[in-house]
Amino acid sequence: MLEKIKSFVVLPPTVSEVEQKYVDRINKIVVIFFALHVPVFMGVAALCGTGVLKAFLLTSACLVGPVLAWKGLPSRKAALVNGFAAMCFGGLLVHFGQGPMQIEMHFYFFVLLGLLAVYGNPMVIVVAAVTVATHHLLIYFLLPSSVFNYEASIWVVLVHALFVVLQSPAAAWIARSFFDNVIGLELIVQARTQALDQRNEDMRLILDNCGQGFVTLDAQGNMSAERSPAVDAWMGHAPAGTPFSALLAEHNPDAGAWFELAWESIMDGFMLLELCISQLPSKVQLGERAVQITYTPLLDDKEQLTGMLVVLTDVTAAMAQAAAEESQLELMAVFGHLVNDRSGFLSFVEEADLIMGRIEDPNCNRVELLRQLHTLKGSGSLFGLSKLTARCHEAETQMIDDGTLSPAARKGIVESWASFQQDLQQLMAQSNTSAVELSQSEYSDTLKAAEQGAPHQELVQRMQSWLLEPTDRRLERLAQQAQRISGRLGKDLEVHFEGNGLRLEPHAWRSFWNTMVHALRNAADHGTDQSGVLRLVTALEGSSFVLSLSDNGPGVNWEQVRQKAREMGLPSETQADLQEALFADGLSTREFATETSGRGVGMSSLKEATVSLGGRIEIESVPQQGTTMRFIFPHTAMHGQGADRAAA
Amino acid sequence: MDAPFSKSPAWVRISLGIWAPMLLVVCAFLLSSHLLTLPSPEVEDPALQAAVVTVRKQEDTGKWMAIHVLYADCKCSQGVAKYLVSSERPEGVAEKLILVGEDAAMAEQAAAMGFEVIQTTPEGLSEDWHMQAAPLLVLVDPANQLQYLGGYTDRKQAADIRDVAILSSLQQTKSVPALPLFGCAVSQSLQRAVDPFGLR
Repeated sequence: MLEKIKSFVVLPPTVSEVEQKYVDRINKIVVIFFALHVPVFMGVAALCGTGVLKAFLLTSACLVGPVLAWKGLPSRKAALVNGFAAMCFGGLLVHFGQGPMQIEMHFYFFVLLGLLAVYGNPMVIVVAAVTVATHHLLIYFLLPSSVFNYEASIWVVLVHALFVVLQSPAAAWIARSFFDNVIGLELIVQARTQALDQRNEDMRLILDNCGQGFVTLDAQGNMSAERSPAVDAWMGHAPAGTPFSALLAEHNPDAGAWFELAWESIMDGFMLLELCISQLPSKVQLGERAVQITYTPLLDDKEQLTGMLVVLTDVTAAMAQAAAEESQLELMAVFGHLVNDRSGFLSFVEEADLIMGRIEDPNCNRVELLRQLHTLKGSGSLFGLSKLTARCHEAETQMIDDGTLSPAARKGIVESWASFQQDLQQLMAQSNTSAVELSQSEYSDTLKAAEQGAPHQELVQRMQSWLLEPTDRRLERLAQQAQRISGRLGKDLEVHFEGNGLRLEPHAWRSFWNTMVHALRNAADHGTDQSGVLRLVTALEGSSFVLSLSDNGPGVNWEQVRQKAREMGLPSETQADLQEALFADGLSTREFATETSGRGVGMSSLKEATVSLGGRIEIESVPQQGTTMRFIFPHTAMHGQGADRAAA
Repeated sequence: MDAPFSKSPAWVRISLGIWAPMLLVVCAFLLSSHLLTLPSPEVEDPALQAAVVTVRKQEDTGKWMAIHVLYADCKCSQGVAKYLVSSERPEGVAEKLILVGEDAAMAEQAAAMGFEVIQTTPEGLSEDWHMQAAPLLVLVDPANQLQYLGGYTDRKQAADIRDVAILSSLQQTKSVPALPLFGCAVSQSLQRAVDPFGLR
């Protein structure tokens, strides 16, 4: 309790500059105020007949203390002297104001106590109160007891002092409040500023040592002065108030324009804030650095946007690592294909090389280019070349949206292919030898025929056929690809294949097999439901070689085909018209294209490859039972004959 | 931090060290003059009773006698004198004014109002009446018995001077307690005690 009272009455030892100036000024005013008491008290003495000279002498004597203190004491100490002197001036007024008004003169004590509160120092009030109490009690001790009747007068003395003492706590409380909230405000601000500075220092330490860029934007998208060093290091220093879009545009004009546009939609306030923020650029290239940007809105109490915290993260290394991992996975996939189906994979590579030549050709027309891209995308996807597939998909999208392929996109595909070839060459460096693949059964059958004395011509024909490619291998590969596609689509597809021991000339059929993947993707994507059966069969039917692909899905929606054909201005009256339309460029029953299907390009490529081998396509589709596509070729096409003719 | 007191110039500290207690004592003495009562003689004092008898004249026989002791240099006494000459005085009462010191105007006005003025000095008052302070009221009944010896008011310089009321009560045989004596020391010994610095 005493400690509390003490800490209340006694001010903190530190005197701020503001307090120093304030108390000095008050001391000066108080001395002037006290000096004015001299003539006033002389006037009062003259009116009351209590001695003008005496008033002059005593009032001047009382003024000596404040003047000395003002000139010679520290400001707070001088204030205490003035507290003491004030009560003495009060006493003098009561004395010189004797007469009918003497009681009223006592009010001056209370006025002075109130005035002393302007010091903002409770101790001044305490000194004044103690002065009054002491000078009243002194009477009791100083005057001779033989003269006075103490029992009668001491109570009067005490009551006199008591009222002054009673007022003092209130005046002291006012003084302390004045100190704490007005004079001491500087100290409060200083303490809070120090705390803030400390926090800022801590935050700065964190910002300086974190690898991310932090900056806040105001509601207009302008940058604040406070930001982490990474922002300046990556984007260059920009003064506070610079639009973030402008700084972004210095490094990446597209990103700058993108940001500006999206920020305008934020300021318009028509769309949901979250939606607008999602439209801001989230990954940009700043020179050699890939930077991911995240945005956190700063909202006021009314959920109005006041600013945005922007966090920049350097993801160059992460992206490089992801790309390296992707390349590694691709390489592993390539290695797997080389081990399991070397000739098939190399066949794809040769075909892709040819396609790449077409893509690089600036004279290649739009339809042709779109077909080549689509075929390359499909084949690349089946062989796990995700980067190439992604580039092809982007190029396709660009062609469909813009009607043309930009040189940059074209270059991207070529570079992606060159990079793949480089990896492939390293992988094949030790095994770049031509080989003839022979199954165990073929070898056994041939050996048995030779041992049994089979005719020389038959043996020659058998051995010549070894250079042809077994359809089993291609069908098996297609089956695996179909299952991969269905797995990617989340479907459970059962795939059967039958090669029936047939072989085909590999080079002539390479293009067909590559485009066959489009039919397979269509079947897996929308030719089957969540689970289904796919059957691939090669067979000889009379003088024809037939490859059939059947599924047990919902069947072709001919009405939809008809509608799309009409929209495209294609004949759609007969079933034959509809079948023809199904293979037309750009016809797709899908609303949106995916990496799997939907461009309306693949089937036209397949038809072209079929026709180039002298073949034709038949479709049988029964609603809710399935669809069978039959690719029918003359027998001679199996050895590559007729391909030239068709091509011609 | 504020500079400590000890670092202030020595002469300032010494001067203030003298100034403050002195001022405190001066104020205390000034206050005492307003709050503390002054001594009055005992009613049974034989010298006082003898002095009372000597001021009664032949024509005062059978009357109440009011003796007003006033000090010419005392503000309180002057206030009482003004009151006496301007107020309606009771009939059938012999009123005497013992004026200590010189104040011709006061004496003339009192005489004109029917007061018998008896001039004396502080020493005479002390020796003859055994009185040391004024203003003092003495009321004596027709049998020369002192019925009242005290002040005029219950507070210092109060406007309500109660001499007539006290006299009236006593004439109705009611006892009246003596009021405190607020005023001035007349004798030098009392002046030294009450106002050693001559400030009053």
